[in-house]
Amino acid sequence: MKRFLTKHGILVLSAATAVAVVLSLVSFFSSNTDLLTNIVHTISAPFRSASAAVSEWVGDNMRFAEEFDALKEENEALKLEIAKMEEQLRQAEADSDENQRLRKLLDLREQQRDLKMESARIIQRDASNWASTLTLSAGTDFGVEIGDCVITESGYLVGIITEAGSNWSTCNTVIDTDFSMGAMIFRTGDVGVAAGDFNLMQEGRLQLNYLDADAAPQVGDLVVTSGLGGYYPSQLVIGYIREVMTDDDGLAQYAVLRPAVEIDGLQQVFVVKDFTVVE
Amino acid sequence: MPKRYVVFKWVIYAAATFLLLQVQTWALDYVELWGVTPFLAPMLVGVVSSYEGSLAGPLFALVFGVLCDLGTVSPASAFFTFIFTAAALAAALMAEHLFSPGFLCSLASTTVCYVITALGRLALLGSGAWEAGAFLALREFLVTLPLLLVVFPVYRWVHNKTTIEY
Repeated sequence: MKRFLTKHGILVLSAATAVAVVLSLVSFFSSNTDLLTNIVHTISAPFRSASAAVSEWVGDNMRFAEEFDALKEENEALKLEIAKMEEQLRQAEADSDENQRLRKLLDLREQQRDLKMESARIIQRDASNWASTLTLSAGTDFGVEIGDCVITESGYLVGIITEAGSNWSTCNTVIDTDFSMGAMIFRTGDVGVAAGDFNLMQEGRLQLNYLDADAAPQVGDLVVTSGLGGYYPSQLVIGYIREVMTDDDGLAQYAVLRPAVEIDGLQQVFVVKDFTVVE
Repeated sequence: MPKRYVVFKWVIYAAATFLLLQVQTWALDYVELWGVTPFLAPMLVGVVSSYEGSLAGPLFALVFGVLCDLGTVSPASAFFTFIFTAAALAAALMAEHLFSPGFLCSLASTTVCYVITALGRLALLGSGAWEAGAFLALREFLVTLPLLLVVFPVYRWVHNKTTIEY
C-alpha cells in the first residue's frame, strides 16, 4: 500500500490537483464561460444537435401511434376551451380599453411589456440525475448572455442561462438546486423567493421561500416572477402552489410549487435577451 | 513496450470510450428507470482502471475527468477531474492487490468508483439532502450496473487486442 502510494498515487493525485487548480483558476478569472469549456462545447454542439434531432424524430414516431386516440380527445377538449377563452378575450379587450381610459385620466405611464427574444432548440438534457439543466442551440453569437431568462412560447419560465458559449448555452431549469429568483403570488401579491431544492427536484417541484407569516397562499395559486430589482422581467409564470407549509420556527411560511412548464417534453424555448416592462 | 504500441493502445481505448459515450448520449439519456437515468462515466473509469493498473488507469481517469468537467455540467469546478482520479487510484489499488483482472475485478472497481463519486457529490450537498442524495446514488448505481455486461466486454477486447507481453 505504502509502496503503491509513493510509487504512483502521490504522483497522479498531484497531477490531478494541479489540473484541478488550473481549471478552477481559468473558471474563476473568466467573466463569461471559460475558453476551454467553450471550445469543447462548440466542437460537440453539432453532434449534440444531430443526436437531439434523431432522438426527437424517433420519439415522435413512436409516440404517434400510441397517442393518436388521446390526441383526438384532447382536440375536442381544446375546442371547448378555445370557445371559453374567446369569451374571456372579448371581456379582456373591453377591460383593457377601460384601463387605458382610466390611465389617461390619472395621467399614468402606459403599460408596456416588450421582450426581445431568441429562439433556441434543446440539444441536450443533463443526464447526471443530480442537476436539471438543458443545453440550448443559441449562444453569445446570437446575443445570449449569462443571467438571461428562458421561457416557452406561452411565457412559462423554464430557467436561467448559467453558461454561454459561441453556439451553445446552458440553462438551469426552475427545479435545479442552483435556481433562485424573486417570485410573487399572483392573487395576493405576496412576494417570496422561488428556489430549487434537492429533495423536491427528484419530484420535479420547487419551493417558494421567505413568505411572510401573514401571507395567505392557497393551493392552486399562480406564482409568477416578481421582477423586483429589474434584473428579471416580471409576470413570467413559474408555477402553481401544491402545498403550503410553515417553517420549523413557525415565523415564516413556504410553499411547494409545481412548475407550469413540462421540462421533459420541451423541444424549443426562447431566451429573453432584453426586456422593457412598465407596470 | 514500444512507444507506437502505447499510442495505438490509447487511441483504441479513446475510440472505445467515445463509442460508449455515444451510447450514453443517443440512448441512455432518454431512458429513465426507478426515477433515474443510467450514468456510465464512473463505470468506464472503474473498468479501465481494473485492467490498466495504478498509473495508466488513474491517468486515463484524469484526462477523462477533465473532458467531463469541460463538456458536461459539473457540480463544482474540476469535480470530475479530482473524483475520477481518486476513484481510479482506489479501484486500481484494489484490482492489483485483491483480484486478478476479470469480470469480478471490474465489478468491484466499478463499485468503488460509484461509491467515491457518490461521496464527492454528497460532500457538495447540504446535510439536509444527504439521505435523498444517498438514495439517488444507490438507484443510479443499481440502474447502471447491468450495463457492465456491455462495457466490460468492450474494454476486455481492447485490452486483449492491445496488450503485448514483454
